[in-house]
Amino acid sequence: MLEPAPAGLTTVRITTSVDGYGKVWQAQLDRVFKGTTVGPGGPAVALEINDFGATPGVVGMRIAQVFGALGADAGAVS
Amino acid sequence: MTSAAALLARDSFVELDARGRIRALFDGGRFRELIDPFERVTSPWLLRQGVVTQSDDGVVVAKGEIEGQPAVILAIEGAFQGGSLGEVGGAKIAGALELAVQDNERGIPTRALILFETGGVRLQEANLGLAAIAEIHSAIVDLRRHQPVIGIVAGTVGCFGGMSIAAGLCSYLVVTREARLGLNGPQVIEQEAGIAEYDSRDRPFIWSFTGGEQRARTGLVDAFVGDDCQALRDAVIALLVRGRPEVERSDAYDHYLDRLSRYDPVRQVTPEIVRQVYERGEGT
Repeated sequence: MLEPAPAGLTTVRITTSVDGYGKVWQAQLDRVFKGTTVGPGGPAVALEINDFGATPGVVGMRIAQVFGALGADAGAVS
Repeated sequence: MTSAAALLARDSFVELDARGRIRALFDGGRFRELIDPFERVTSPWLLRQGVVTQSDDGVVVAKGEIEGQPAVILAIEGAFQGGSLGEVGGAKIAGALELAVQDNERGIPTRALILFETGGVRLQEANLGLAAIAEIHSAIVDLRRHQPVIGIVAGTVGCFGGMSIAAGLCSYLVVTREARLGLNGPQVIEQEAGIAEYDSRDRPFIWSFTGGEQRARTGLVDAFVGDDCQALRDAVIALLVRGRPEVERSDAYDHYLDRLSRYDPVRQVTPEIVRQVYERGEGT
């Protein structure tokens, strides 16, 4: 779920049942947020991820879809 | 036979998720969700058992209109934990049905549709899930005094366990060919009766007993429709127009007990025998 956040602040909360993927998630999120312009003055979103066993790469594609949908809809999207 | 052109022309309902199905049934696809994912009412039990939660607990409650009349649709998301019903998802359905009863008592003719896509109770939530399902049962019986309660089993998860009893309590049931309806799921029967008796991986065999077509031919459902959004919506509207049935299926137990008494369990049952017994009242 993606919701707006105060300018300049982005939070990400991940719920996963798989341990030991911290570095992979960090790399994936760095890639997702690098160069995005969601929100005024750079990314300002509250992101919640329930992974259901999906790999960080697949989750990255889902986030890209959400960012794409944001272009069409100014409100919060799930 | 179904031609390729006919398959391409239809707008599949089975392939839609819970929200997509709701959109397909309401007038103009417009609806308002109650306890939506952003309210974060999730299962308090799954995380403790290492299972990832879903923000809506796999149940979508939506209010809208069908043919200009108020309706509430309760859609179970089969893709989350097999559509299992836990404390939160169960309470969402039971609570919404109770609100619909209140509406009717105040003169607002809210009808309810339940989209069953469920294996029944969520085993991780055991008794709380069972209690919630019991509340759903009593709420259906309460609401159907005012308005017909329509259950839809589209597939491919089907409807089993305690929620199959909820389906049986509905005034009307709508199924597709992909649907399955039964008290015990195929794997449970295989485990109890043995693979020689019931092979849960033999899909034609499973559907021949519990599939939508068989359930329609044995009179256990009221509408058997193709997998198409418009066909589903048309079937729902036709049943709503019909209004409450003269006799609810669950009150017609004398009829079904009579049918069951005609079956001699010494003979190995086949789908054809079930049809003979239910459809034509023939003994075996």
